[in-house]
Amino acid sequence: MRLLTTLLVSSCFVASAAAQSGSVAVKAAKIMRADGSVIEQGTLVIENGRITAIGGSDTEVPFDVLLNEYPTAVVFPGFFEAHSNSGMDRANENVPLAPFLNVKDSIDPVSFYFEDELRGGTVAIGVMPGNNTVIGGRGRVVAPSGMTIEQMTLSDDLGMKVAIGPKNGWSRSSQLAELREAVAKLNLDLRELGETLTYDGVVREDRKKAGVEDDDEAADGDMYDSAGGYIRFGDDFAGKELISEEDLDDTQRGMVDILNGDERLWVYAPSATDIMHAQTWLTAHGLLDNTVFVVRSSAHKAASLLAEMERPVVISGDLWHVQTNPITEIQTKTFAPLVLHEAGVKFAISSEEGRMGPDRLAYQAAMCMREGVPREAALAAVTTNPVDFWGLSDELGDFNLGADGTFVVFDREPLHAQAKVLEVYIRGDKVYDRKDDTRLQRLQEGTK
Amino acid sequence: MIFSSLLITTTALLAQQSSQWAVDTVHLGDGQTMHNVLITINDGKITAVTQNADADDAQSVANAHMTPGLIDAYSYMGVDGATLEESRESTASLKLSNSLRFDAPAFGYASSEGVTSAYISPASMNVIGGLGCMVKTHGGQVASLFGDAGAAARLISDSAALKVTLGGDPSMGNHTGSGKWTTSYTARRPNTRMGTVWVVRREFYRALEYVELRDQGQVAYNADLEVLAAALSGDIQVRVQAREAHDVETALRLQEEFGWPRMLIEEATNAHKIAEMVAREHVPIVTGPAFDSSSRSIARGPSAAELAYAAEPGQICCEDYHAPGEEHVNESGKLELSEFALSLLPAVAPRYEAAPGLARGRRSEGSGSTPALPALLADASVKFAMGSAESHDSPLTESSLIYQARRAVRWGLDKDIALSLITSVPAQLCGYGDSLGQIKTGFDADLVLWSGDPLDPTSLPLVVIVDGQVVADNR
Repeated sequence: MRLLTTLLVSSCFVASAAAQSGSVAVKAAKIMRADGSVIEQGTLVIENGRITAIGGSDTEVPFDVLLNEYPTAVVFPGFFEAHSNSGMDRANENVPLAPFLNVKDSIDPVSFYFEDELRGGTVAIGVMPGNNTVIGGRGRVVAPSGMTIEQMTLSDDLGMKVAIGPKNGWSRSSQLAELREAVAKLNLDLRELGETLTYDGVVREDRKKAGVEDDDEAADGDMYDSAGGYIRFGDDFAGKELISEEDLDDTQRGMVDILNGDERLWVYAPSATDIMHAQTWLTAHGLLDNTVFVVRSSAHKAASLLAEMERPVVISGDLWHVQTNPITEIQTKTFAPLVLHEAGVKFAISSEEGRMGPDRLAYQAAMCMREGVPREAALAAVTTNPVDFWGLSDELGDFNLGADGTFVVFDREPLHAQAKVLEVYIRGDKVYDRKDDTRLQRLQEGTK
Repeated sequence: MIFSSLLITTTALLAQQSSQWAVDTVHLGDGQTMHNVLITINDGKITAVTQNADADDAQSVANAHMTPGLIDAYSYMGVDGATLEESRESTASLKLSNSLRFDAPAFGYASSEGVTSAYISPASMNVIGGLGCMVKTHGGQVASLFGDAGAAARLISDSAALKVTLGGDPSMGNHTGSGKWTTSYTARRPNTRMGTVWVVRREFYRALEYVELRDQGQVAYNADLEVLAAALSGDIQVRVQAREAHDVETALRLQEEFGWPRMLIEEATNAHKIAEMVAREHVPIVTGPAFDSSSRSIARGPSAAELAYAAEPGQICCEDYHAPGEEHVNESGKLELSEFALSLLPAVAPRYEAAPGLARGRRSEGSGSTPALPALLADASVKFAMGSAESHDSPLTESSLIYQARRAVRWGLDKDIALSLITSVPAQLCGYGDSLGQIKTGFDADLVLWSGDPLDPTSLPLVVIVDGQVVADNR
C-alpha cells in the first residue's frame, strides 16, 4: 500500500513538472510587470519553459530561440484566478465531510469556462471544491489550456476546502457542530485504534515468546510497525506512535492531514461572523497560519480582524456589499476591496460569480481602481497575490528570472476597456491565438 | 394645504440657481467632442455652451470628461411584483406609471451611474401590455418617510409608448388544459407564437372598426381601443418586444399590415441575423442587455481545446498509470485513437456550458446572440439605442448602462457612436430629441462629469446633475 502511494505521488509530481516547456523570445512595445511598471521596447526570453532574460531592446536573444516581435503590443504576465469552483460539472459532493475528494477527478478540460478564461487573458486558476460543504476536498492550480488534466495542472498541491459558512439549508450551529464532531470523532477513533494496536502488539509479543509463527507479518512492514509520529497533533494517548497512514481510512487520513497542519486551508467564511468563528476554530487547532480566507463582500465588516490575523483573503462574488436599513429602507453600498485595502489586508479577487464574461478579472481590477484602490494593489489582487496564496510565487505571477515563461500579449494596456488578448503563452508554448479563435470570430460576425 | 406645500417643494427643486462648469473634454452626445468648454446652467436648463471662455466661479475637475445624462431607452426600474393585469391578454390602456415604485432603489443605482432619464416598459407577459412611461431618475416625490427630498424618479410622460410583446413571453406558462379544465379560470391563452400574433391582429382590427364607428358616433368610448387607435394614427409609439430574428420579421410584417407610423423594436437579441432587412425598413431598435448574467451567450460549436486537439492530436492518458512523455504500450493504459475516431472526437467529447443559461440566452430566446450585436447593427446602418432592461435593479456596477456601452465598444463598436447610443439617439427614439440627450443650449441640464474617459472602466461618475441639480457628488 505504501509503495503504491509513493508511486502515485511520484507520478503526480512527474505529471505536473512535465507540462509544456517551449522556448520563445518576444520583443514588444511594452513589457508590463505585475506591479504595473513598464519596460519600454522590452525583451523577454524564455528557454525550456522558464524565463532566462528580461530587459530592454539590447537584451541578447539566443540564436536558437524563436523571436516574435510585437511592435505595438503590451506583454503582461496575465491574470490569475485565486479561487474558483468553475470548470467542474458540480462543485460539491453531497456528503458534508469529504476530505478525500480531489477536483482532479471533476475538472473538465474542454469546458467552455477554461476557453473563456484563456480568451480573457487568465493564465492560471486555483480550482477548489465548492463552498457548500464542511470539508470539501483538495484543489489544484490549472492552466486553462490542455486536453487532459495532467496537461493543465500547474500544481496539484493547492490545499483543502474547509467551510465555516453554513452549507445550504444548514444553520451556523449545525455547520460548526459538524466540524467539531468530525474532530472529536477522529480523536476518539484514533484513541481506540491506539488501544487496539497496543493490545495487539502485546499479544504478538507474547505469541513470539511462546514461539508461535505469525502468518500475517509481511516482509515490508505491516500495521504493527510504528509510523514514527504520523499523528502530530493533540494530546498524547496510548498507542499514538503506533498509528500509521495505512491504518486509517480516507476521511481519517484527510482529517489528520488538516490537523497535522500539512494542508493549506481555504476557509470559506463569507461574513464577518463566520470569520470570527473561523478564527476561534483555527486558533484552537493551531491552524491559523495555514489559512487563506475565502470571503464575500460583507466581510469588509471584519476588515480589522482580518488585518490583525495577517492572513490572505480572497474576495469571492460581488465586490459591492449592499445593506438595507430595516427602518428607513435606505441602502448603503460599500466597496469591499477598498475597505480591506485600507485596513492593510492582502487580498485577491475571485471572479467566479462575476457577471461579465471572460475578461472579468481585468474589469474587476479596473473597478477597484475606479473606487479608489491604488493601481498597484488592484493589479496585485489579480496577479501576484493569488500566486502568493498558492505558494507559487517563484514560478508564476510576474516576470522573474527562473519563473514560468507564461505571458499574455495584449493589443494595449491590459486594464483598458478595449484591450484585446492577442496571444497567450504558457511555459513558453503558444496556447491561444486570437486569429485562430473561431468561436470568437463567430461571435464577432454574428451567426446567421 | 399639504398638497400645496408639495407643489412648492417641487417648484423649489426645479428652480435651481445658476451654475457654471469648466470642463476639459465634453462629449456633446451627438458624436461630437469639444475641449475646454464652459457650460452655463440656469433654472434647470443649459443656457450656454462656450469654448475657451473664462469664468472665475466655474466648478472644475482636472482632466474630467462631461457627457449628457445617460438615457436608458428600455428599462424595468421600479417595476416590482404584479404590474400586469393578466385576466386579459390585451390591456392597452393600463398605465405602468400607476403601479411604478418611484422611489425604488433601482433609480438611485441608475442615477449614481450617470443615468438621468429612462423609458420604463410594462412587463412582457401580456400580448398588449399597456402604456410605458418616461421618467427622470431624480426629482420626484419619495414615498418613504426617511427618503431625501427628490430622491425618487420623476414622471415626465405616463403614455410614452404602447407595449406589444411577440415571441415566447406572453404564452409562457399559459395552458388550456383538457376536458373540463379547458373552462377553468386558470386556463389562459395564447399558448403559441401564432396565438400571440393572432391576439395582436384581433385587437388592432377591432380598433380599426372602432375608429370607423366612433367617427360616425355609433359606438361608446372604449379606453383600450382609443389607445390602439392612437397607435394606428401615430400619436403613440408602438414598441414591439421581439428577440428571435423571426419574431423581428413578424414585427415588420405587422407594421406593414397596420401601418403603425411609429414602431420600435425592443431587445432584438438576434436582429444581427437580419440586420440588412431591418435597416432597409428603417425600423429603429432598442437593444436589451446583451451581457447580463441571464443573457450572456456563446456561439455553439466545438471548444477551442477540442479544435486544437483535432488539429494536433496528443495522447489521452491517465496519470495513475504512466507519466506523460513516457513510451506506452497498450497494456499500460494508453488510449490509441484512430484517425477516424479523432475526427469524431470534437462531436462526441463531453461538453458543459460555461454557466447555466449562457447558451440559452435570455429566457430561452436569442440562443445565437452575441455581445457584438451593437457593433453588427451599427455596421448594417440600423438606427438603434441601448437599454439595460432589469440591469439597474442590481446595485452591481457591472449592470449599468455605461457598462453596456463599454462592452459594446470592446466588441467593436465605435466609441463616439457608443456614447450617442446612450444619449442623443435614445432621446430621439423616446420622443425627447429636442430637450434631452445632448449638451446644447436650451436642453435640460442633465449632465454627468466623469473622472476620465466615460468608456474607460476606471472612470467614475464624479458628479451627476439632473435638471441643474447635483444629485450625486463623488468629488
